[in-house]
Amino acid sequence: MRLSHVSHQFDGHLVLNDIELHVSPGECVAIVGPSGSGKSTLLYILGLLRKPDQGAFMMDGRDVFELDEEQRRLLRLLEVGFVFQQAHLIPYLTVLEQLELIQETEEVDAKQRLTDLGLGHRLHHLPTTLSGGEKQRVAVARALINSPRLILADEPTASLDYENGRRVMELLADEAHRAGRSVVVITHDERMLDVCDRVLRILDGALTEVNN
Amino acid sequence: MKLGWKEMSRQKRKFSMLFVITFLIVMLTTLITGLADGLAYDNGSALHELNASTYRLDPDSEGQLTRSFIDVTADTSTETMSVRPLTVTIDGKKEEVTLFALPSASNIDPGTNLETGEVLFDPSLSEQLETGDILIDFASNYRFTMAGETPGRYSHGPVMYTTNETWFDYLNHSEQRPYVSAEIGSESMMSDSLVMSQQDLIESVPGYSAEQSTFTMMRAFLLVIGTFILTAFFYLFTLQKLPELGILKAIGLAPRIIGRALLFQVIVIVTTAVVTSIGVTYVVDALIPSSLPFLVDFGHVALFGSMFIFLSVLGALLPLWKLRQVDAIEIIGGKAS
Repeated sequence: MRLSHVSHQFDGHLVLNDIELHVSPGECVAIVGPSGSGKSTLLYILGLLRKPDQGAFMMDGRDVFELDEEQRRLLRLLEVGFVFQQAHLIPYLTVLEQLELIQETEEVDAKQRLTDLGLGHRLHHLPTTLSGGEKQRVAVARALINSPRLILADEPTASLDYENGRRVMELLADEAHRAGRSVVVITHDERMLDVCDRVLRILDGALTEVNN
Repeated sequence: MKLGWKEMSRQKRKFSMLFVITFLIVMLTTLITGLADGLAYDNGSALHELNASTYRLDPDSEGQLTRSFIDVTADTSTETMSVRPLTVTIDGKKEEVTLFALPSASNIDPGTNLETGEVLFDPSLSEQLETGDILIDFASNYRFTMAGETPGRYSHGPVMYTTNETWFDYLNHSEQRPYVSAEIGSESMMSDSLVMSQQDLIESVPGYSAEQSTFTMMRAFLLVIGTFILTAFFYLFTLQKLPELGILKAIGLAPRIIGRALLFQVIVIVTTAVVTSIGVTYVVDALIPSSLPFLVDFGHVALFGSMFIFLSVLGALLPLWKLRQVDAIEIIGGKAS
């Protein structure tokens, strides 16, 4: 996937300025930057939730923002996996049902996926009975259920302690390396950056590579 | 639908509360409908029993049979009926009753071959009355003989049925000019005077229209209030769920799945409330004393129940609209920056 010459304004302020971003399959990329630097806007554009004022987002050789809203919705469902700061699980669905609700492909066995993430004993539990780390792992499993090619994570460790946060980051990086997915993680936590293959910094709307 | 059902079954307290509120509102509507139908029956059941399409009344009667006076003509082909309020004495006690004199050999006859002077009486006239008892008209001293019971109410009072022969005998006995209240027949026979349908006659019973209009207004308000309450509850429930729904929208779940779940819940709750209310109304009907004017007309209560379901689905459009308006970005992280 590739962002090409993407610029976007918010409230008359240039948030993204001529961004170029390419994430290869199997690559985990971290994006860091201060608050208000445009990280979230970049994530929303990658997640097909916001159309940039200028530029293109190429997937499989086509600009996804040329698609209509329904096609973009389907693309989000099938090709993009989201992990948010909060797990945002549906309170009245069990762990297994959270995945089944959005599962569109038989490619992945939901039970097996949850078991792989250490949640095999929690399949029929409601979110209220889970710990914060378990909830976030369910959210990761939900993001992976349709085998998306792109995984976007917005501060996935922010509500977790170091140990649980690290585990979630390793899960995401492992998905990139093992299943050949493109993973983009926005994070403030610099202790987690070593898990990713590349680190990019966004500042005043410009994206630059950070040398490890 | 599965989604809607799972939410309902796992959040029983919330949905039970909503069900109870809906049930009470629908119950109030069905009870009022039962009361309205009961009063309507009490006001005009004697007219409901008549099986003719049109009636010709005295133009000055304002549609009221008891105020209609038509001179008797030599035309014997026309069937007539007469209605008159009487004060009768039963064992020395005065009672108000309405006398209905009907043709003895027609499809609207009282149903029994009555001799002159004989009447059929509504059981509510007196519990002590038995066949063979004598009732005396207070004004004329005419003696009516009880030939049997048959239900009939007019203007919230009991009715006595008799034949036209008895009617004219009664008028003759009391030295009154022979008259009838209405001529009965098909519409084509009647080109002049005040021609009324059976429904017109019922609605002209004193107090009938005012009574029924009041109940109709109450039911209409209950329907509107119920719809508002239900809509408000579902709207608030939707607002509470916005974070989760926004996330599902961001993930790409089709909004129609969430919308269907909401519609399913509205229909299940309201339909269950309507069915339960109708059942309870039948139980109430069986339990309350027969002296209370209460009648369950399934067609009527089902009609109001259906209207409630329809209006509730209509009300669900507001939370559905709210669902459609959900901005996933706002839900995920507030402002984009």
